[in-house]
Amino acid sequence: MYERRRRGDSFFEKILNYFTEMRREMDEFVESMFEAMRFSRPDWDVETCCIEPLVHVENTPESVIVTADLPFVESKEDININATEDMLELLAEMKKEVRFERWGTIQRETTFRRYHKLISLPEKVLPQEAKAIFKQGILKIILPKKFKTTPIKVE
Amino acid sequence: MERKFVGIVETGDVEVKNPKIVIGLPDIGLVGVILANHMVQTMGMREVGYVESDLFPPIIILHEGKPHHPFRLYRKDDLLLLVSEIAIPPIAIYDTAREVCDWAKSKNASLIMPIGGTPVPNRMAIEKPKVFAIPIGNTVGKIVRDFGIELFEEGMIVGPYARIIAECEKLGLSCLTLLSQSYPNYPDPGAAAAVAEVLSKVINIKIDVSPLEEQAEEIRLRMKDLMKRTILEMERMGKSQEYELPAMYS
Repeated sequence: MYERRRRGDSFFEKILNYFTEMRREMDEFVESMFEAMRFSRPDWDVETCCIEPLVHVENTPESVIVTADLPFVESKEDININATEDMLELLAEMKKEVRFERWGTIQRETTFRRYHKLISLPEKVLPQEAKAIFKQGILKIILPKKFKTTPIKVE
Repeated sequence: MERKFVGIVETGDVEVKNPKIVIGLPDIGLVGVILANHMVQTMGMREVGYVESDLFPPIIILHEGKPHHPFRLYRKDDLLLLVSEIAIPPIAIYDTAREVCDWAKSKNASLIMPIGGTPVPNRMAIEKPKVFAIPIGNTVGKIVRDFGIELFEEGMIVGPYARIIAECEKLGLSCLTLLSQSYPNYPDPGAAAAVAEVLSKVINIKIDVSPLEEQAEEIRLRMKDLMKRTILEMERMGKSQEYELPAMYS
């Protein structure tokens, strides 16, 4: 009985190992796909002197909050935000040109003048009710959600 | 023989009696990396080695046409400094922490100081970030009390510093982790300046923080891609657990 169980365990172990290995390979494949998508293009454009800022999107119960780090942007007048129900476009001008010299090969002596970023929102929002503040070089945009929750009374 | 996955290679003179070792690894707000880089540049520290591993991404940094390892060791007098320009992949965290602490023990280090950030959601509203200490060892507790540094009393640390703290405790090494309130997802030179002020008092060195303030915007822009890469690694190591409520000791 012990031998039989061991043989059975061994069989299932083999199956389990097979699936574990397959899962690991799939994880690696998916990760490599994401990696390729993430880094298939740089987040700057030499032609337009544009660079993408660091952004963070937070999905709260009431709203979608987008923040962006905008070094070298001086004031709110230098920022343009356009929004639809599910997309946000962010443009911002830097107060001075930022030059990277002796960097890389194709992008040698690159100059950046502005930020540009298109951000997909995780849920539909009401763009006309959105609010934005700019403080310490960080832009914060609060976009109320289109579909509000309805409270359900517990009986 | 047990295979080591991480190794510290000394290329210069590292024979120091009871060195203090500062560690700046990519983490919340890149606080440690920003401050470590600043110390290297402003204190005239010399490159004396590097950390290598098959588990790190295959990267070499070219500076003035010469190749440099991304995870480097610097020295000035009795101060050694480890700084990494690559986010440590989760798979390499345990071996890196073990190797760094074993090496520190072999050098009879008097104090190990990992420096970094602790995430605060309302960082925009904070003018001067607070610095918190995690002391390991009796003498370190006294340092924290003497300098009036606030203790990190309850919470969770996730990532390379968590393992360095654990290894230091296991090996009986004195360790003082300094964490400044920081933006979770953006490079934070202001947080680095706050740690610098505390660090300079603790180890009695002069760190001029004015360049950190004057060049804050340039630092934030230059560190953008390292921050992006670090965020990915932090997500993979479950860094968000630092926000979670404590399950024990409450």
